[in-house]
Amino acid sequence: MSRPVLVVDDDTDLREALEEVLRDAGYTVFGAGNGLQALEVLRREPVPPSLVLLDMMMPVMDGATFGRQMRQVEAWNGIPVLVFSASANARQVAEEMGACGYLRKPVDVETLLKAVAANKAPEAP
Amino acid sequence: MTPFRLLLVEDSVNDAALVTAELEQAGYLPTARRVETLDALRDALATGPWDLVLCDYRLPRFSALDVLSLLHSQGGDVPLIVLSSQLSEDQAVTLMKAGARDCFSKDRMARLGPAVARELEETRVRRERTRAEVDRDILAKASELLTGSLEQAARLDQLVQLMVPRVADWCAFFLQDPNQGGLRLVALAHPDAERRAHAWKLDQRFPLDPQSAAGPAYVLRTGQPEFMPDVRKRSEPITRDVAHQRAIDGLGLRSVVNVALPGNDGRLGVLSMGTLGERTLAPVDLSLAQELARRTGLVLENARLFQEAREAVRLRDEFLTVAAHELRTPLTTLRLQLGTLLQRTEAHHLEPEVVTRLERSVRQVRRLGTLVEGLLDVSQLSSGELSLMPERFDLEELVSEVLDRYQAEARAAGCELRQSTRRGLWGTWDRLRVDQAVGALISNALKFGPGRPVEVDVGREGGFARIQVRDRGIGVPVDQVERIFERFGRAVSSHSYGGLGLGLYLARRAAEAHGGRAWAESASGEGARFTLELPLEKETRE
Repeated sequence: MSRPVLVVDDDTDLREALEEVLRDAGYTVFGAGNGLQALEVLRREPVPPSLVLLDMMMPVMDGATFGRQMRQVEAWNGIPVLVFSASANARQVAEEMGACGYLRKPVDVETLLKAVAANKAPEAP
Repeated sequence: MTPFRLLLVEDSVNDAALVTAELEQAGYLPTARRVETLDALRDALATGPWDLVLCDYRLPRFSALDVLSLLHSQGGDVPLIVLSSQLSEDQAVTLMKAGARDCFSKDRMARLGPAVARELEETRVRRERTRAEVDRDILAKASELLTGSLEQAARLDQLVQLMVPRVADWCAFFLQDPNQGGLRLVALAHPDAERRAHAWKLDQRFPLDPQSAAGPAYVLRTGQPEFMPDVRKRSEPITRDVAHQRAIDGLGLRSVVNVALPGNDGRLGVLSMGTLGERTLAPVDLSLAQELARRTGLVLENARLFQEAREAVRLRDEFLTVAAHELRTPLTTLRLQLGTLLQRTEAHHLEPEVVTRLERSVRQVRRLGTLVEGLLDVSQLSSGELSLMPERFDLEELVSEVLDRYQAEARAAGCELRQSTRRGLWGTWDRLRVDQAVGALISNALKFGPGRPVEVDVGREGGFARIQVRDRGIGVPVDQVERIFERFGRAVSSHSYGGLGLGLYLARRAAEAHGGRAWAESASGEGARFTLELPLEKETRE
């Protein structure tokens, strides 16, 4: 089974739409409503995700804080992060947190799938 | 009887009485003061102003020449006439050369009346002329200050300094406190530091009573200027607070002028000035104060309006940013949902009509996204230049991508999109901005030239890449080809053609940010050609 994709976004409708698109494309998907929940998912799941699709502005714990905390755990340090933000400076944010790339909302299905495929960690042989 | 202030330098009481009697006989009512030492003379001059000095030629310890040199050193503008029991012609010439206005013997006192009349008149004319020059100078400097780049507080500080001591002994601005209401002292000029501190303290301790029947608060309330040549004769107290009134009386004021600073919606504050001791203000001072207040009010009002306008723009931009940001999340959900539906519909070979409707929905959602992006860009642009994130790419490839995206819209508009391109136009540009700009030109062509083909040409002209979009639509009148590139600019009524009027504006700004250009050529009714020009070499700009 391929490694899952972790979708972190506080907007439930959007998160579920993202999950749906990714599942349709054959991915295993976990969702989290904020950074704290995302950390719980990482702790809970035995296999680390191949990619984190990360919203920045979220309650409880925002994307930047989550990114910092995730990088402090060695097992999670190498997980690619794709910043997914409505902010005009999404690219800058992505660069600052060492993400592998960024997507600016709104985005359509093709662009989303292309970006996920291009940025996810390669499957172990 | 004409009153005037006479300073008599005379050691003989009898001679002084003689002079006074002679003047009264000639129709004058002198307020005379007699001094017989140079020190007393110096003191008397300090309490001026005097209209005339009459001086005995020979005094026990000094002469009329010493008096003249003292007058000169004080820089005053007081004429001096020398009276003497015996005076040689040489002595008279020496005195006149030293600046005496006239010399004559005490046994020819009949000459005194006409001589005084002449001197008083000449002094009056001279003083008026000098004063007019002072006014002109003050107003010129005030204009310079008012139009300069100083902060408001520093500006008002320097304005009050202009008036002291040339026109008054102190000068102050009171402005309406925007938070608490009422008048507050904001600038004060006074030569004495202790008195200055006292006045500031007074303003802190006793805010001016808005209902008072006199003083700055009264002037602010009524708009009527207040001119008090002698405040000791003021009938209405400035304040009902006894301690406050005592403190005001303690300032030693003599004359006071208060005038309102006019604003568009009422009065902004009060310009106040006054004298101490013997010095008094005249109607000419009131006129100057009014003119200064008028000019200051105008500038303060403009500054306020400018501030308000800037704040309104800031709020608008903030709103646009927040709104655009907030709109993006539901737009993303919509797009993804529609995309998923479309894929599933196609996969399951459902009714073609469903597919068509879904496609239409996708198109509209995408259009909504473009509008939202435009709004956000425009709010960013109003606070500065477009920031670019350059990367190297092939322009032809990007244009093809954009055209693919617009195929559905073109079909809906009944337009055939024709592309003739040149391969390998590589450059370093901001992909997103160029994408938006090309999209804006195509969208514009589809909107204004429906049912006719639209040609897109990518080529090279010197060191520039050129994207040209040609439609066969309604065209743009010659006098409007620049206007359509302005923010919210449009050549046609917004009732006939929708849109926010941002696409071309953003396209031009994007081109310019790259060091390129965007323009249109058209004749009304014959379609239009829009060109986007981007430098091919890498631009090293911020």
